[in-house]
Amino acid sequence: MTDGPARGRLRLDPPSVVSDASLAARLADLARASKPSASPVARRRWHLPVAGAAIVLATGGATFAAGQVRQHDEPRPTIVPAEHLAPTTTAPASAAPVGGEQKAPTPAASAERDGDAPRQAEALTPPTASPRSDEKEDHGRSEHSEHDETGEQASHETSRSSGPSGDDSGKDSESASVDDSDNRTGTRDGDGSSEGVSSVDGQAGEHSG
Amino acid sequence: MSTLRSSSEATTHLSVVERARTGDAAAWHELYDQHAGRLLLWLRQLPSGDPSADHEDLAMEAWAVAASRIADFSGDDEAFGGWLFTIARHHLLNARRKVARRATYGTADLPEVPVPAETSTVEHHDAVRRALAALPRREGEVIACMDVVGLDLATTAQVLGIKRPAARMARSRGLARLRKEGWEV
Repeated sequence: MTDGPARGRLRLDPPSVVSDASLAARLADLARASKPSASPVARRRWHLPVAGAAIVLATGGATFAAGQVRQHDEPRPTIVPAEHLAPTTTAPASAAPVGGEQKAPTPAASAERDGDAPRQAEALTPPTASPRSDEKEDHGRSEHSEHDETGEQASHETSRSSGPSGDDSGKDSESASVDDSDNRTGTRDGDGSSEGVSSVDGQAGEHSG
Repeated sequence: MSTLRSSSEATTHLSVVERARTGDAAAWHELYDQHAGRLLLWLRQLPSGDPSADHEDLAMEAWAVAASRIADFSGDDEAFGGWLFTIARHHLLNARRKVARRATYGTADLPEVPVPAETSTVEHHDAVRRALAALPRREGEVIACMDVVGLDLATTAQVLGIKRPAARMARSRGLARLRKEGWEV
């Protein structure tokens, strides 16, 4: 640091500043041209729409989030199709051996126990072991699908019979008409075709159920 | 000059700042006489970081900004000094940042500067400036405002942008350091 006399006091005398008239006139011109940069009211105007938009967005987002959480928490009713309820390796009641052995619970019994409709129980019954009466009852219900299947079979048979021999169209049409009439009335003979119909019937019944 | 006097007489019922706001040159003349010397002294005591910085230029920039922004100033005559010093301090801080970005260090030998006649005064000012520069920044600024220039506590707090207790505490700590250095405070 410097010597003692220089440390005497902190207070300094301000330098003499020469006042200038031209400087004062320039400052006055600047002051005359001075305008308020922005009034507080004008500065506050943009706050309202922004605040309103923020409130609306926040409320909408909160409502949407609450709906999503509620929808996620509520259990939905589960709809299971009938074919998914059919056991795959269950022996039918009619095909079960009659004896001292205890019968396995049939799907119909389980369906009745569960309170399902009897129609659904019928649909669960395997079609190969169903009696003839069941086949007739289901015939009306699945007539359309049966017609399609047997129609395909008939066309195959027609082509097979007419292919190698090269018969005329009259025979083909006759055989086709016979096949169609058989399909419509259900009077076609033959165990194979009837088994095919019943199997198709069973599948159709399952689908319709 | 006579026109300035006549205009000032017509608006004597207004305060100096109000007349200056309306563009009265006499009011600006009066304000300049009141604050220009202290402002220049205060700026000289604060370290600018650049030895070649001209404090008079900073003071004139502060006056020009004050005149062009007088419409935004809503205080009275007493508050005008603090507002003007605040503008000057912002300019000083900008100059300090500019110097920090463009710092250059001369390596050549500087030419000998002739010692002016008023050596004692210059030495005393230089000693005060170096003593304030050795203090922490806040304490040096507060002491420069209150003890060197003579601003009151409220104006000092307004200029520096701090609370009054903080300014008072910084002043007491700075004065204690200066007493240890041998200053009569």
